[in-house]
Amino acid sequence: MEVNVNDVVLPGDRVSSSNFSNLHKSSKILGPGLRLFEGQVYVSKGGVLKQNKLIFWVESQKKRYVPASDEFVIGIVTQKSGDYYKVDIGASELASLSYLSFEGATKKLRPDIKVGDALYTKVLTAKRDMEPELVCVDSHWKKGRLGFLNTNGFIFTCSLTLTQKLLSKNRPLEKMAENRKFEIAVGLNGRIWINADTEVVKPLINTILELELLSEEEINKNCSNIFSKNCKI
Amino acid sequence: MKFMKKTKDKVEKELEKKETEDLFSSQITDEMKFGKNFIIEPSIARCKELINGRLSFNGMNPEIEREMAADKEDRTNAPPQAKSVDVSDLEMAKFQMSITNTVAKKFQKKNERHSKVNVRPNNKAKFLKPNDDD
Repeated sequence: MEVNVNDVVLPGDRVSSSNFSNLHKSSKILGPGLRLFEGQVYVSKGGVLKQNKLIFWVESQKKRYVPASDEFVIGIVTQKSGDYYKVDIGASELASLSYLSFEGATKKLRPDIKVGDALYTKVLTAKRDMEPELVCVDSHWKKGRLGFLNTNGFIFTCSLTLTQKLLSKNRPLEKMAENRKFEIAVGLNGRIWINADTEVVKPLINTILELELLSEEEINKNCSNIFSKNCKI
Repeated sequence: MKFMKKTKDKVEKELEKKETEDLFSSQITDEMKFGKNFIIEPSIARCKELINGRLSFNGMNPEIEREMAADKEDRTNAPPQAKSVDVSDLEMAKFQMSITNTVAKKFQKKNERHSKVNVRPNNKAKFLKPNDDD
């Protein structure tokens, strides 16, 4: 069936070429859920077709993470094997993380990472036939905001859609913060790590889980009210 | 005969071309056939312009907040920074010109090099004979 932007789509639907023809000639970008086959664009997963200028993608409610390069995720070290750590990022396979891909690490000076530690990492490569590879440094070999997440924090899981809503351009987390002191790491693999005083942690988790069913506009409007309400309970 | 040979070569060439096309037809992707009209972007973070998910507020983790402040500064100052440059175009042109001269000199022959007009004048200090009239 031919579909247009903002339609509910199913795998196998063809995206009607009229969606592309009225854009000017520069290349269009196909995001997750769309596939090119014989010059036609087909949908490869169920959801809603979205467009932002030249970018097209399918938005869907997902709980299973499929690694994609350049995404920030929270991983838990499950194994040390030779020069690599095996890290669980919630994907179908464990990801590998070289001990050299930390800031200041050398062959002699290994980073102090133990099995069971949580890390905020970036997916470097994600190919269909290979295990995903992670790094804890940016392109300048600086750690930036990546790396070890301290053990005082609390990790919980949620849907992938919710993590995307939390990280939208409107910055709902910034609005919620106001004068409350907390530290958060949101991984696009559906894991959230929070470090704060005990009286903030519980309402913050409740608030985040409440946002699951709200749309992005509603979150933008109400997130700070919901958080304040939860803090009083 | 010569003219027959030419035709034979032509036919052979065509056959060879067809064979290679058949051989690699499975490896020619749609992209090669239809041109690069579409770019595939596997990450939703780029599509939705998501922000970095490691945040800290009100002094919980000063290290992260410093990074956040630096990012914010980059975001707000990005357009004017692109305009102001360390080296102006004129300076760059002058510098490039001097390099061209230096490199050109390297490829000249020795006698050519000396005959050049803008070579430094030979003002080597000569031995001055002492005046022994006194």
